[in-house]
Amino acid sequence: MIEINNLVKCYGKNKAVKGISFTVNDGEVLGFLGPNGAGKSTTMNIITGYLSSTSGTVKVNGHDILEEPEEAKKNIGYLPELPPLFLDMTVLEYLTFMSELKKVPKQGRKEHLAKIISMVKLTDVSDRLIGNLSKGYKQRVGIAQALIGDPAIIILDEPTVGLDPQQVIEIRKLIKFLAKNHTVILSSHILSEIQAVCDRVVIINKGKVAAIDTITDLAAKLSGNSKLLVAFKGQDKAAINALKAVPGVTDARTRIVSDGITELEIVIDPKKGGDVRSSIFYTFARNNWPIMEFRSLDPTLEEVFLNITNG
Amino acid sequence: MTAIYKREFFSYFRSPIGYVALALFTFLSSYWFSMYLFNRGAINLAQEIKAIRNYLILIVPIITMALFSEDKKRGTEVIYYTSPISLFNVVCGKFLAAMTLFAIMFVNIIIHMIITVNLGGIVNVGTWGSVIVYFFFAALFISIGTFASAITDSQLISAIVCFVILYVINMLTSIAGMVATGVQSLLSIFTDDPEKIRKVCDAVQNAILWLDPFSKTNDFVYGKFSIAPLVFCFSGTVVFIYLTYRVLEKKRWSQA
Amino acid sequence: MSDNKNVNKAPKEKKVKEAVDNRSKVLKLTSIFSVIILIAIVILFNVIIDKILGKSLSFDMTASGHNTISEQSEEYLNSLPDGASIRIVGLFEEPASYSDTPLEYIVPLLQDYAKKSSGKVTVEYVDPTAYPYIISELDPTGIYDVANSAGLYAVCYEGKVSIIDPYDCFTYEQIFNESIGQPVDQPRYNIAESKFTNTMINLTKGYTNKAYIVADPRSTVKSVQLEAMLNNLGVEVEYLDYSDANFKVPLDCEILFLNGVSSDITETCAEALNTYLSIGGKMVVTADFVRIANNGANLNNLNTKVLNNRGINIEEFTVRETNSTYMFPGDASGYVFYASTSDQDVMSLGGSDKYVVQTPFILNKVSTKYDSSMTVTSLLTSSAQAVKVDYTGTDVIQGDFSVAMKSAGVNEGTYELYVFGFTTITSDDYMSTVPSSDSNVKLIRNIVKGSLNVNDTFEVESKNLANYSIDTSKLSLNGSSAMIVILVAGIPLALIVAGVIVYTKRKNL
Repeated sequence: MIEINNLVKCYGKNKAVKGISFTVNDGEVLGFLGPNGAGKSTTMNIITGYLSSTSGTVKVNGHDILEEPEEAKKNIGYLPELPPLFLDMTVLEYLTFMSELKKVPKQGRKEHLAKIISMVKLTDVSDRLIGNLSKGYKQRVGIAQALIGDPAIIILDEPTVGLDPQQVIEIRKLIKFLAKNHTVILSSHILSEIQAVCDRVVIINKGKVAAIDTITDLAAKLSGNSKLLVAFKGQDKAAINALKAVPGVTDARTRIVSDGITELEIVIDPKKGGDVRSSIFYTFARNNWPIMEFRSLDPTLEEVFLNITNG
Repeated sequence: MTAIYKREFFSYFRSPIGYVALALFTFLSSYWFSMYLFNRGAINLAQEIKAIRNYLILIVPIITMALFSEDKKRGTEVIYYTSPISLFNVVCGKFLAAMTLFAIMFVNIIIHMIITVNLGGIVNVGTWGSVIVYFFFAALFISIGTFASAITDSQLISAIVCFVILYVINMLTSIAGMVATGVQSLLSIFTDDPEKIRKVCDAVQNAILWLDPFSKTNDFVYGKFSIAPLVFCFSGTVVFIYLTYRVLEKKRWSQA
Repeated sequence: MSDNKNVNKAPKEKKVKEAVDNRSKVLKLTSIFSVIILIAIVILFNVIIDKILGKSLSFDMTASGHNTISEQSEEYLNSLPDGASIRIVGLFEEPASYSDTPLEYIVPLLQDYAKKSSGKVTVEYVDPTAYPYIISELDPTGIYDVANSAGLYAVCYEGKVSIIDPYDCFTYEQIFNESIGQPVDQPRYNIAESKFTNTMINLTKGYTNKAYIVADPRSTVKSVQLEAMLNNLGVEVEYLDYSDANFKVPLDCEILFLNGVSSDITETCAEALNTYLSIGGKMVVTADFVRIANNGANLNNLNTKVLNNRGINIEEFTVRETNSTYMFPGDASGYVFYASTSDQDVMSLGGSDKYVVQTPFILNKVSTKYDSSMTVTSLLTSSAQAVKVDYTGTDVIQGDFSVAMKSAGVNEGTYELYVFGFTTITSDDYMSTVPSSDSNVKLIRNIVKGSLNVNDTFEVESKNLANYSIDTSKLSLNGSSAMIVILVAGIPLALIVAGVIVYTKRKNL
């Protein structure tokens, strides 16, 4: 468990982090979200001990990162924004070096590394020079080094940047797999990724925490309501009147009318979710309005994000 | 610490740098050795080793310039800060790796010693005195190089800083003289008493001269061992290693 | 609502800011101070070690203690009165480096003198060309010739100055230098301490005795080493030219040397010597058989007018040893051998019973001329298997033969005459190639001391010089060229090639 309390980091007169506090619980996957320059990497650097905060505390499993650095760092595996790779070493040499550094006991080290290498799918290139690898493979080596020693907490700063879609999916699978036994903190720009993998998300903006919550709750809090989109063949006004009669529907609005297809935006009371949708369906059916498209318009994480960071 | 030591040491041999440094040292020391062989019919290895000390000024910056600056530039220094090791161990590991490279260079001298003995020459106390001084000097210079490498991320600047510091140390005798003259002219503005001026100048000059490790260790070549100069070199090494550690640790409080 | 928010924000921000400033400042100051304190401690520690303990933490590890003065010199320094001030001035600029020069063995030694003398001996370096005042300071009347002694050492005490040439602090032997193709003088022994201590003794005590060496200006036999030995014993030395028509032995002569006689002396000289001996003089004669035999000369005047009267005759024969126990190792001719003695006096004087002898004259007692007022003893004889050989090199007879004899008046205050049929006891050639502990040297030294009643001079052992030369015969030109090429070019290139290979191999991994 990581407790971060009132973290402040100043660079001269510039305050990069202005008092961030949150907790990461054991076994959860926490997403770190924020625009460029919000202070995500700085915060991660402070948590892992690379930078020192100007004030505030970071406690990893009860160990303060400044007071008991070695104890705290033992539990953390970190992939920074720029993977720290020695280009003149082979993958295996590098990982062996990192395992020595992280004090992995000599017995069983080989098997441990073999396991990690296969987990990150580096088996084919384990004897190649890191400098000769493609960006994707390099990224994987970076992830591999974060996994050495089986740390309880894994912190990944933009792990899928520069990877092709196939690789991104694989990494996502890997993170989900790791999440079963580890605490993971993940920072990313790719909102869909965070949406797909994380339990909770911390949104950081201009050095401060803008929001901490699960995604669904966030979305819900933001909108206060659920929105639905229906595209059908029929008259919008009639549909709107019919819909307003349905219990649980608070509002209905036309969005687009084109090619004979009308799009309506319906606002419903989320508490009555399932029933309301069924009622809306039947309403259209009764009126012989064929439904072309019927989906939820809940704010995506993107909308939440933009809303929060711009608001 | 062993992990870092091993990595640095082998990295010297993964790129041409280690080989080039070894080749350079071999060339220089063998050149001196052959000069003795051909011209004099007598080989005083102590002199050869003493001459090599001057070449250290060139070789040490080359070897130590990449120790820390490369990590800064490459972004791998984060490893040292986020792994459960102390920064002091990191500094010591790198320092020892460079020292080991110098120890390997020293094999050349051992080859020369074997040749000398086989030819009927002698390897006497003066020679061993030189050897001891060589290692203490190497330690001092390498610690300076390590420090120079930690204060910047450019290998070039690091090499230049190291070279300048070593060169200044080499020139301390002349510098002492110049400073004394400078102080003298400065003081003559304030006072007319030549005795006083001379006393102060002498004191200043002696103070600076005291810092010169070269003059302190001259007598070792003649077989006269004193512990004080060795203590001096060793404590200098400790100071620079500690300075390097503090520079690395700057990240803890730096507001820049 | 928003106002409250602002008010609440403001003090919180201020608090945060204060904590911010404090913590980083504290860390920064701690860092800087710890470095400053470390440097201060280190400097202090070094100053303590250097100034206070430094002197006792130096060790002279050279095998012969080149850089330290011996106990005897220390004793002498301690015996000097407290206010005594011996000033050693090197008349040149203090060299920054003096390796491979004679100064290598002198400068550290002088430092040791200064260190152990509790201030009685001071050492300084003043270049007379830059600071001419030093010449008038040390030698106002010019009698010590300091003005022409640039590059040498001036040892000064109470206005008296002795000049020491660093070159003279060593004994030399001639070695053929193959690369030049000429013989050169190679330093053999380091006698710097002996020279300096004895000079100081002579300055503080003054010469107590006077000796004369009779030299033939035409002769090539030099007496530099003998003179140095006598000086060290506190004996002042002057030379007399024996071809002088008005040859006379001065009244202040306490011991006279006829060193390496290679031709007969003149009648005038013989008469003067005779007179000198009859008034109780002490004389030492060494004769050079090889030169006399080659010149076809004789020693009639010397024998008949001086030596015979004292019961000794120099025969015109030499000795060739055949007993291998006595033959000098490495010499198969037998002409260089060990002469032995059973005389207790000789053994105690020389510290040995065997003495190195080279192609000596045979000496005989002349019974007709000596009486009960004198005693004639044989000092050194060959073995019984030695062979008497004449001028032409023909063997004459086998037997034991005397090569050194002593004749002395029985009563006190009467003459003492030592005749050595060989030169390997006082010649420069011999004395420069052996240490001061050599038996021959000890013998002559103790003879002199005994004759002159010189008691408290200091004998300081000469020190072996480290011989860095290599056996060039082991190194053929081809061999050494090959080695040089391998060392200077071969190995470096091999290393670079290896580096390139390893690098390119790894690059493609």
